[in-house]
Amino acid sequence: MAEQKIEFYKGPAGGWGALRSVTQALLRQDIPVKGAKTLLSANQPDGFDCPGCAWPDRNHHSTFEFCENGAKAVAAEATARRAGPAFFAQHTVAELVRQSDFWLEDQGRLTHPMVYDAASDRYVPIEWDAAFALIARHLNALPDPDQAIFYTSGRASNEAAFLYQLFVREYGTNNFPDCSNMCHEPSGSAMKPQIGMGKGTVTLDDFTKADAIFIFGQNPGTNHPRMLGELRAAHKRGARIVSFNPLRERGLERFQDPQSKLEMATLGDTPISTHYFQLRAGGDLAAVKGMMKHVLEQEDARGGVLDHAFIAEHTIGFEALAADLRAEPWAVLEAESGLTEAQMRSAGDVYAGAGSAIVCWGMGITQHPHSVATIQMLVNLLMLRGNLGRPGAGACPVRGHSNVQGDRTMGIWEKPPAALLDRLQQVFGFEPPRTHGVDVVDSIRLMLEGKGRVFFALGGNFAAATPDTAATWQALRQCDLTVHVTTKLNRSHVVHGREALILPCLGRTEIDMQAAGPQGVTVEDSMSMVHLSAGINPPASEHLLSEPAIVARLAAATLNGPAGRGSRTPWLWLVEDYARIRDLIEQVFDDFKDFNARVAAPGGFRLRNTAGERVWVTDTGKAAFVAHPVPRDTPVHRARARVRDAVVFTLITTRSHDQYNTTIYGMDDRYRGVFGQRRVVFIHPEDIRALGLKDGDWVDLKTVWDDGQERRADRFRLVAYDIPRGNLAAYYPETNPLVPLSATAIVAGTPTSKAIPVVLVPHEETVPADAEPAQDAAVAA
Amino acid sequence: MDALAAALLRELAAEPEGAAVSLPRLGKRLGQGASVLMRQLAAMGEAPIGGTPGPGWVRVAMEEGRWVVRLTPAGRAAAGG
Repeated sequence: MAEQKIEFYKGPAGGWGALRSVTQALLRQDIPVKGAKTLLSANQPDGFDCPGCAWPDRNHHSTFEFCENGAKAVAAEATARRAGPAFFAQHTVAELVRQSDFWLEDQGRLTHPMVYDAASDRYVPIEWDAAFALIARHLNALPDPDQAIFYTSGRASNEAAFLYQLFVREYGTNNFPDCSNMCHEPSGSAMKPQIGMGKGTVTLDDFTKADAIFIFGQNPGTNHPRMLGELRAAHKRGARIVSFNPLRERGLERFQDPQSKLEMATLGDTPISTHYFQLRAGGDLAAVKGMMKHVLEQEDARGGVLDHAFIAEHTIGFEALAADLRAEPWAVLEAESGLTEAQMRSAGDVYAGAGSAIVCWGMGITQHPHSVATIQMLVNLLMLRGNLGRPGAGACPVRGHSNVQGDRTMGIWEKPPAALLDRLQQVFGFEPPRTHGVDVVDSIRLMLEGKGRVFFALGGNFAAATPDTAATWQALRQCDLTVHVTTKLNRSHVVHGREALILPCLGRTEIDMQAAGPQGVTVEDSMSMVHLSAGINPPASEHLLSEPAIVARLAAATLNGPAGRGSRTPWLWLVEDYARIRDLIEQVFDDFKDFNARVAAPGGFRLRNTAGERVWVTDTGKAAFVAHPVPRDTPVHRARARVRDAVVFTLITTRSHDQYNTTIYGMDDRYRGVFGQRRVVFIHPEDIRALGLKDGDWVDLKTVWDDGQERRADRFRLVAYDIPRGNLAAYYPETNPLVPLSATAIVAGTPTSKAIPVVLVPHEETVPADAEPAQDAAVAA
Repeated sequence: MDALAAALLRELAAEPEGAAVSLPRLGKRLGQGASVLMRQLAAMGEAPIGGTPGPGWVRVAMEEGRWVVRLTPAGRAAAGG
């Protein structure tokens, strides 16, 4: 095991530390390391899309040279390790469930479809046709298709996602929980009614023209490292970069570009943020309101600050917003944001002085109770000065998984618009279900109630990604059947239903050979660019199927097999050549006209962005200013009012640097100075003292909620950190047990994993000192 | 045989028996990017793709920090050499 230590990280983000980390990741996966740079430069215009994140590529041919985390993702997929039938023969599921998330994924690529054998408590091999027949039998035996749940990870390609939504709707349900429900659902929920589309409005080119870039609740150094290249370039040409984040994050401070020979040779670096505001968790709405109040006061004082022409021609609701801003007391804004009036005015001055501005945001905004309102306030801010639909300006929700935006575009949505269903009916000649389905949280509830009996996951790690671990695990275990399409073993495969299947699929880097030859798939990045991705490596096993092939064969087995509803869709013919799938996508979605021809161009094409054209597809035909009060009755407020004998903290769940969503690549969080461990909680030094504890002490975390259930996560080491008082941060999935199922964002339903009221108590020795995270979670379950 | 596969066999067969050629050099000679070459070389190697074993004409290896390609005896035979 690596040495456990806490050691302040002095260096910049990126640089030699990133290259060293890549080398270690390759070593861990038994990949030759001397040629790491060569390996990483293999990505070319007609190569594979990096599965690491959804940040776009400027030229689409230099991904890995820049990005440590992309390299880790590729290394994890290209690992030389294999978890085949022999591995499963050696381990009962009871043994596997006690292993950590890191250990499970570290066993290597899965090689065969496997089925759970209850008699031996082991997974054993199964033929593909038998696996599809088993699923079909379960699905067709359900009295109501709404008793089946079809989860989608954001890794699924457009082609896989399109076939999947078509299959599931032909089967008869809209039960499509997806990873969007846990991340940027609030962005769509906020922006669609406000400006007519739920996606970002900017392109990478806008980052080269913006005078100011505002970053809210986002840590690009760990979660979107390639974004640092854009920020570095912006800083070098004099743009202001203003960060709002509770924790001090090195990636928002300084960056050493691994591609810059000068910086690497001289150990130099480039500052990122010109202004860094450490507001309290969930204080963003108040902070933005303070900025807008200042901008409005400047307009009142000297004029020429607002874009009156834009406001008059393109918007409604300005007067109501202005009245609300004028009435809001600074004292409230200070108390709820955690910033001073002077700080908010300072940020407002940067905004008012910028000819063009971009606002970016991440999970630090979306995973809060008032996330939808906060995002609408961010858009309000942009609209005050007409910063939508012109060069160097716009909204930039930065997505996580590489095709999470594309999957939603393809119809993976539990609340499909009627127009999509009408078109499916027209093109495919069946009556799609019109009742809305369940999202992530409601799917867990459905399973808990015994009304969700078959759970199918196209990728992902549902058991580890979701809130309220105890409830989620119970829900999955109550299912008649759980099925996971995956490349590697993870928690969700060992927390399973009465019957269970693991279906191994090709990775993004692997050659997908079908009847018509090698196939490419398409993905859509955070800025609505759609491009092809084609693997270059031989598959990890000859028994793997592609995700489109798995979906097509499952659809054929279910819909056209015994007891099936019948389908006129030529499922197996479609996956002989994915261009046929894209032809169908073109028939369903107008924005994909000439899909095959346009995506063949290097770099692909951009989907139409109406808000970026100042075309507002809203009920009124205008963009809407929307006023929102500062939240003063959140679960944290209520918990603090209720608990008088202990300090109630706001817990932010977060990733470590050696982590991608639920995938744990290693045990370090380099930029935060954490090495060889994950059970740490970041806390302000004064809060440690106020608790009568000291840095390095061990504590247990307990949720303060109003449903009478105990939620706890035990044995976390206190780490003094630069974070506002009253706030804590700790890694997920270890802290997911603390997030109640009912803790969701208003309107969007997203788990509020960055706003959990908790108390700290000295660690009670109720679990073994060497317990792995999984064991703790098992105890909780 | 695919034109690129044939071109690769020709290039590799022109080298002395057992000699390795670096991937970037092959790319430069053939005017192709690394990902195109890697994909083609994967199809010419031994590993099964799409359930079909490869012909085993080439071996790709990492040597001293470089990706290099060698022709196997089967590859040399296929190249007519």
